Amino acid sequence: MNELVQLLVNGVSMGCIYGLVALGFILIFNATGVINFAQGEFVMLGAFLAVTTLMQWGIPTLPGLLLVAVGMGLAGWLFQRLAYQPIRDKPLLAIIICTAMVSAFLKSTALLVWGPYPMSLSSLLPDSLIVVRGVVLPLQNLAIIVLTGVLLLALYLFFFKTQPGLLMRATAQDFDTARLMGIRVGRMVGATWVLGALLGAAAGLLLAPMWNVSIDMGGSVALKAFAACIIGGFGSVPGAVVGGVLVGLVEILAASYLSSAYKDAVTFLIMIGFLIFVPRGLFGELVSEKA
Amino acid sequence: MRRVTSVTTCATAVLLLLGLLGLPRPVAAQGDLSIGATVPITSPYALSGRSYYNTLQMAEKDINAQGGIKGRKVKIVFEDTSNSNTTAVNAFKKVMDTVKSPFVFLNSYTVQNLAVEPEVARAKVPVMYAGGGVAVAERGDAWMFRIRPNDEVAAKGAAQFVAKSLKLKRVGLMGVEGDFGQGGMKVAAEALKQLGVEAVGQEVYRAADKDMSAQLLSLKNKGAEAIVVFTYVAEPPIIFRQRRQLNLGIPLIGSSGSCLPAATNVMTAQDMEGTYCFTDSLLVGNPDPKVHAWAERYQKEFNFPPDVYGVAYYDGMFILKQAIEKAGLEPQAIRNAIAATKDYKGIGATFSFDQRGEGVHQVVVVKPKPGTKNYELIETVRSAQ
Repeated sequence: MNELVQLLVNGVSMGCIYGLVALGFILIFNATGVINFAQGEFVMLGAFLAVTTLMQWGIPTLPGLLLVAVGMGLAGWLFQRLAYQPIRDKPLLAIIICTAMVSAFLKSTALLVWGPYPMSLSSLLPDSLIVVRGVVLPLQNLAIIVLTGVLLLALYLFFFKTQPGLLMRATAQDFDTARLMGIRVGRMVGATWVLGALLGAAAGLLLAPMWNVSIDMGGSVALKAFAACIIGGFGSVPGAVVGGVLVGLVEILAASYLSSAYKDAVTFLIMIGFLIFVPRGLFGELVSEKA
Repeated sequence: MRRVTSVTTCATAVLLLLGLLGLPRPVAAQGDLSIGATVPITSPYALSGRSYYNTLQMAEKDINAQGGIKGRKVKIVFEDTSNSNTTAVNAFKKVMDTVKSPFVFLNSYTVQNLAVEPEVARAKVPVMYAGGGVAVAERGDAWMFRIRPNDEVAAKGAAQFVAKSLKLKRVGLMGVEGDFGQGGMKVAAEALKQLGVEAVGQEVYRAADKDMSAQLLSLKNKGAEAIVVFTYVAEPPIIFRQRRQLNLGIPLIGSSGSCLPAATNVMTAQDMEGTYCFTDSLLVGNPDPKVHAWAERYQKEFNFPPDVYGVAYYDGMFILKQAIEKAGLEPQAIRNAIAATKDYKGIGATFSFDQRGEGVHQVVVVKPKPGTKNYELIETVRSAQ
């Protein structure tokens, strides 16, 4: 029983990270229709920036994280300015391929800047163990779950209780009507990419203390997050998070009770199952409803 | 607005390109002896590649400081193999076409060694490689020489250590998905069985996995008194930390990836407590003053500790030097001279090449001194020849 609780906490905390990355996917997709294949690299970039500001330059935590947020915001803004805006009228496939190229570019650049050796970002989250009702749990995992909850609450308040959030939702819902209503849609799209980059970076910061920072850290997380989007319903914000947590749980339970070698196969089989039988996912709207 | 965008785009692109080009290595002069080396300089494979990219340059400098080979200055010509087999094969071909080197260093990735082997046979030049897969030697290509203990030697060495020195009866095995991890577990399980030790389970994980708690707990529940893990470099920090967090309470014996500085650099002494590592040799912390001095020199020049991959290529370069000085520059003669090398005591290992081109026939077991991240030598395990 104790072991099951340990596994569940592990699964949910990993799922929260998948959920955050999936959320980044969904926000960008909702606003622009683009599936951002460089989302995983936002995760990696955020973590590397934190290594530089906190570990290499020795800046104290709060200002250091602020610097990372500014840096990632800038990265997100530059991305859409250089790799999306100039080709936004071109076929969607071209834009998606462009994001894949940016992903390769970011990975190679990171190799040149930070080198091939994995780096540690241990100071960000507590490293100790706590005992809750007789079960030994890493404090890090609980911190991830709590911090993700706080982030989601902040996002909810931003989107539903602030003017800029309202404008961004309007732009995502119907681009042309929003433009007709006088909303500066170009800026809203830019802001969405910034938010997507920040969410990726947040996932990277939560991931890094436990799993270290390396060039390829973003790739597998992004793939699982993509599966989470499909399971949760592509385009649905709560779906992204719920999908993420589900993927995290399925992963760890499959590894424990079925076979550790096939755990990814189980996850992606479930994703394929959803695509075939429940294509709109758990929370997704039917396409006809949206139109 | 569009014009600003395109100017910004162009400016950014140009600036980035300039930054990325960096400074190229100087071109070989007339009369220099050019030796080819196909090394992963880019992509995640650079994790190991960086190490021998550095030590080959170190060896080049040292040899030239001593007067070169037969009076000629040595120039190592690097080609990037990246993490693609096609790129690796093309890198080898490019080296043969442009440099016409009488010898080439291949890299430490078995998949790429296997992919390049047919080209080596076609080019008829001797090569040294550091991939661990037995499959490479099984090709029977007389031009290929391995400068590290192969995965079977390592796996059997670990099994022997666990059975004879730790005297355990039930051991868990864990390995990264693929030939190295799963193959290693199979060899270890067989070797353990012959020594009267039960392998209670063989758990697999994917190289990109970030959570191995399920596998660790599963082996513990099956009664493992220790766990032998076959890993690459990114996973040991996670596995070691999770073992401590899960309060597993049993020792972990990791393959050489787990004591590479690239891995220990991101571990804590706490996580490393109660673990062992089976690897080629001990570099940092070796009591031999020659080894210690070499390790210090590397650390000073490259700002990072050396590892067993790096030292293998450094030693390989000097073995090559000896072979050329003995037999001249004709590839077949160099090949025969390398094959005849016996009991060459390098900085890292001692080399004796056998019929299949295998050069190293032992592993060492190391353990971190309690409370520190510094390794000390526990035992040398020689494979039966």
